Amino acid sequence: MSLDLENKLAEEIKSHFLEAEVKVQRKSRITVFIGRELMIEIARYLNKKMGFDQVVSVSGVDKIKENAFIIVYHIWSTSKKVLVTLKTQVPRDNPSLPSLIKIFEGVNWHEKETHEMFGIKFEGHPDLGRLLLPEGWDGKFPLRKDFTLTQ
Amino acid sequence: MAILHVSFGPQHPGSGPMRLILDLEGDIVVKAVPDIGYVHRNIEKLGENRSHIQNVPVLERISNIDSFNASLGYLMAIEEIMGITPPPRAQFIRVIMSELNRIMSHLYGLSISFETSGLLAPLYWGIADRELFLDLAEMVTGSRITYTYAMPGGIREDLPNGFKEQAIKTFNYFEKRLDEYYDMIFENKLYQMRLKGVGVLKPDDAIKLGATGPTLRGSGVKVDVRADEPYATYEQIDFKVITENAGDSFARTLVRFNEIKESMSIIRQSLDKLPEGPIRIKAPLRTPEGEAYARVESGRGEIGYYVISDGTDKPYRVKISAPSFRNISVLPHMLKGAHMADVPIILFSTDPWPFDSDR
Amino acid sequence: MDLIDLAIKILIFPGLAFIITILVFAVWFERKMWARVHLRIGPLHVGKYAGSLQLIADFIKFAGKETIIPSKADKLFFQTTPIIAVLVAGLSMAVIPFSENWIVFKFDLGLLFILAVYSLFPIIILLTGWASNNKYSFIGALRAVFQLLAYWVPLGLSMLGVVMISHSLNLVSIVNAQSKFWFILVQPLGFLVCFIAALAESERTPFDIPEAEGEIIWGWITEYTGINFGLFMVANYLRLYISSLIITTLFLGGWLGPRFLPPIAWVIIKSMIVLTAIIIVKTSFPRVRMDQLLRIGWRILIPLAILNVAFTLALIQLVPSIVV
Repeated sequence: MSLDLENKLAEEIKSHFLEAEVKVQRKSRITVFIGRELMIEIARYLNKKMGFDQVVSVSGVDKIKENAFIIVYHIWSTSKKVLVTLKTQVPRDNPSLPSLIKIFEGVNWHEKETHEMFGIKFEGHPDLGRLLLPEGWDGKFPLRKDFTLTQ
Repeated sequence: MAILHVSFGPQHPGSGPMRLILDLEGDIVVKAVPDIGYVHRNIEKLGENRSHIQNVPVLERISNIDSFNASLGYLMAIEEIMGITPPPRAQFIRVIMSELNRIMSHLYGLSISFETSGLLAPLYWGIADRELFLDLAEMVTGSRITYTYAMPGGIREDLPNGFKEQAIKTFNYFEKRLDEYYDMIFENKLYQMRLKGVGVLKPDDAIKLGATGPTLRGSGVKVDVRADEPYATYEQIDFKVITENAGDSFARTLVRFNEIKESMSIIRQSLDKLPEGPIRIKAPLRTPEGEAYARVESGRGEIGYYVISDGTDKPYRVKISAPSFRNISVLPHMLKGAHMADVPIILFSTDPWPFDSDR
Repeated sequence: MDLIDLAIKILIFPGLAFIITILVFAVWFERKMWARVHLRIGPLHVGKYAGSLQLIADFIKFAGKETIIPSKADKLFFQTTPIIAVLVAGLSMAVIPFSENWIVFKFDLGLLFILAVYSLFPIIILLTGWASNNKYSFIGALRAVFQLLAYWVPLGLSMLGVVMISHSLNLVSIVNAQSKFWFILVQPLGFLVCFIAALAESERTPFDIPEAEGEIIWGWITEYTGINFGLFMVANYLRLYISSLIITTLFLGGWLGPRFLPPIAWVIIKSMIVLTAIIIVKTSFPRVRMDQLLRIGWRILIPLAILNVAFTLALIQLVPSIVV
């Protein structure tokens, strides 16, 4: 199976963002790892210039051993049929990064849920309140690795 | 005029276990805020404490009437990390079960949506006809709704003798019934009056706001994981991606209705092309390190599984991107300016399933 | 003599006992008919013949349940409106003739009386919705009032044609005037408008939006439990049956029919046929939305009814022998 399209797209991203680590995993999967300061710029580039229009998932990963959170955005292109996994890393004791809501309107609830489960702040998000957890929850973040289920 | 705040649900026969906080001005909805989380079980956290094979029954409960598709996505992600491919016979049988689940899920969702507009007879017909498909599933797996049938590397048991004949008999009967449904429902002038032009979602908004599944295809956008990123054996099967252009509730309901016929055709082709061979290969007990994102098209839309493995037999992180989560977040846009009587109609035309939006 | 005659008419036929019996039969028939359309069986166990006593079992169940009164509801109206509803619904039974003599109260203005009773229902419903002190009840009551007012006008107008031909508002004279031919043959448009308006006045699908279960739970009856709920159900079905009786009397010739059956039987048979039509309409159509409903009532039915009056005028001029 030829990976021409994916390689071409990966080359284009690498040429515009020299600090990014870009890798083609398999057909329709490209992974991009970039620093948090460039998140808004690369998201805008992917959306406007390369046709990646739908954010299908936003998740946090708690790397407790490295004392960091990794935030992963999966963005799909309906025209090119390729998924880009956009990853960035934030320190665990001050987890905050700019929200992509002005570029992708659909990340609203996804970022809200990630905030609720991990405690990651998305700057510029209009309403990071309660979504899934019940009212009166004591404020701990369930999906962090130091939250055990017996609590 | 004064604004009336109405809480639509959760103890409401027309909403299911979720709540819509509506601001009404007279009869028109001015603002709608969905309130989900009533059935939140934090399945993602549960998934981190169980091995892969133990995770299958937990993860298929995010969507119990469509459970095979829910577990299939997880297994596809695991198999990608492990680097194994199930044998062709297992892949074909997975497609058969997946499409059977899609028919069941659509029949259930459609029946409930007919009831909200006041049409009672198709509600009972749909639930009664769904029994035939549940019987087919019981023939193969032994249970009607949640199967735990697939496993890493393939499927548990082979198809029983007589399944193909029973399936063909059911499909021949049901295709005639679908014509009766069409005459009773979609040709009914009053039904068209209630549903056409109600809850319009334009294609650009649908893509931007993150709609998926029939909600997206009802606005004319041709996006279907089975065609965009064929998994299992969908590449060897001839099928159409069903879309309608109007973007209103009528179009969304019609998309789901037509997909039932398409699913029956897919199952017929799979049964014809079914090769002989083993039904599973051995999967390693410990998964290598790695991560994968697998996408499956379920009845409500695309389920995405993001699995990170750290070398043990339990996943490090399981993230589920659920279709109803995305579709319900589009609701405030669709409900603005609708009459209060249209609220359940629009809600059920997007086929909400709070169990997978809450997880 | 006179007093005993009146007592028989009020208590047995066509009074209390008859109403109870015919309601039990009508509700059983309706549920069986729905069930067949839905591919189900319907009531089966209660009563020796296929669940025929189901309604009595239901009523006993209702009577046995606890009556819950919301603490903020208006207690006086909350408890009296069910009884008022049943009484008012039954009141119009007094002027409907089951034959020349089997009528509780011979009234020269019978038809006008029935229309007046119909106009009382919006008031009762508004009282009920308001007394419940509940948003859903209130929305349901408002919808019901709008609907009933909108369809009361076409209902009255459609009956004008019949009055013009028979020259009387007395229901007995109207039936007697149909001895040569039934009025449905010369008033097809009037029959259609009357049927649709009667469906709306009885709050039946496709016009049952005040009770739309999917949106506002039970509408204006939401807060009522136990025997109060049962009484409202009785009032609703009574309204429905009286609508079908009125259509029978005005358009289908009342008790007139071949001699091998008594006149009373003909009335019952004909009203059951109309009821069957109403039941079939219920199972086949979805609910119409409020604004579409009002549009049909004001903008389509009233012009049709006026057209019917004009048509009848022309008919009387051209064929004077129609008028009795």
